[in-house]
Amino acid sequence: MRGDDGTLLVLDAGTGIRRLGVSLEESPRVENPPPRADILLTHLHMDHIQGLGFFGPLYDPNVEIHIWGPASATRPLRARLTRYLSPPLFPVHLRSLPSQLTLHEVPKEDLEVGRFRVTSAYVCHPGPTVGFRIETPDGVIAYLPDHEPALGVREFPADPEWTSGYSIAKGADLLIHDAQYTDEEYATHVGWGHSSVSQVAAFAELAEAKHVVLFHHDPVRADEELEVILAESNRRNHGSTVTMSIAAEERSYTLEKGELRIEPLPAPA
Amino acid sequence: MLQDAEPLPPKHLEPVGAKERLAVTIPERTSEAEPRSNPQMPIELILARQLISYLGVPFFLVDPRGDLLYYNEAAESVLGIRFEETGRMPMEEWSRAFTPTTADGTALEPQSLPLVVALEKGRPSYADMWIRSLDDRARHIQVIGLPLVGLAGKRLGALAVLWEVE
Repeated sequence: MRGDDGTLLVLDAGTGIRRLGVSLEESPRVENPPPRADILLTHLHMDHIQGLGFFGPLYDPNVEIHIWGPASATRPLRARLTRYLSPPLFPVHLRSLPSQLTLHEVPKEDLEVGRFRVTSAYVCHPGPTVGFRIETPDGVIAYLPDHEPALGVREFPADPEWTSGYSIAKGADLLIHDAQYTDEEYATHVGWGHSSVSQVAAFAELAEAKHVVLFHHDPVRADEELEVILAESNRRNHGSTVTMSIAAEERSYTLEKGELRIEPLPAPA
Repeated sequence: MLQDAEPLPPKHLEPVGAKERLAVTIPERTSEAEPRSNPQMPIELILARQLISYLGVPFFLVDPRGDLLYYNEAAESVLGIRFEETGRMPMEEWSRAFTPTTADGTALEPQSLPLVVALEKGRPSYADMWIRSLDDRARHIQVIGLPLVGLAGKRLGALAVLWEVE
């Protein structure tokens, strides 16, 4: 996420963060104040941290990096990240990274950087996992990439007060939400920590979100299948005030004065 | 064959017009939810409620102030009233509504109840007590209060098992 003042928030650290690092190194550097990036980790499952060691700015001593991740009951965030960022899993130890690195535990701390105000809350997913709510003068973005709010709820959606993630998503202009399954697939994956597309639609209605980006697709899903799933969801939710789109590599969204614009995908190189 | 005599309820727990007591102690529910600064419960309480709603063991869930959030169907049998009828209750109210006493009839102060100890001391607590359920029966119960502390060390409330002694 980029603020119009250049503020950079990175949502999780999957494999895509390597290319982001490269693109940042190619962009003009702002020297004063020193460049800064804030990486928001929803949780420490491998698909959310495996790109971290390949993020170029971590090796630049002129870059200030803040990593925000969930607290656990027994081990600090640093110790938990070090399990991955240390030999034998990774050749460089977390403490040896040259950048100016600071770790923060959420939801103990909130973040205000540039024009972004970031809050977090634990949400329903196996292990310590948070969702992030990013408020800007131009609107609200909610990020719940791994989330199963329907777990154990007899009739979903239920009362907002008793719904995981509601405080994160409430009134969001842009809700980026886990949509791994179809309803049929969810039936055999209850408790795995993810949602079906229809559950996301119901959750977004409950939270009065404006636009949902379906995210965290099942890895085996083809693009054509995703289009069918979206079309089916739109058919079922005809008349809903919530609109939906499919997350895709390179797709960008612009939020300006409460209006969301979905940018066209860049032409293939 | 000798059998254990069924313990008699303390004298003061004899029926005393439970309907009136109910009317006095339990306010009518309104459709308006209490105004709250946070529109959503912490995930730990959401999951606790979901879990106990599926269990056959009687559980009672309170928030950090001790106010009742929920009790499950098994607890409804012990307390003699459905949760839908009581809704939430402030601690001052539920801690007296069921008239908890020792076996000799000494009233238990709210501060000595396992749930309140769990909240205030942040440790599990146990008590053997008598209550008068709201279906007007004296019941001998054993209570274990468990503090609910989140990953970040935040005190979120407490959970109690209400085990009726047959």
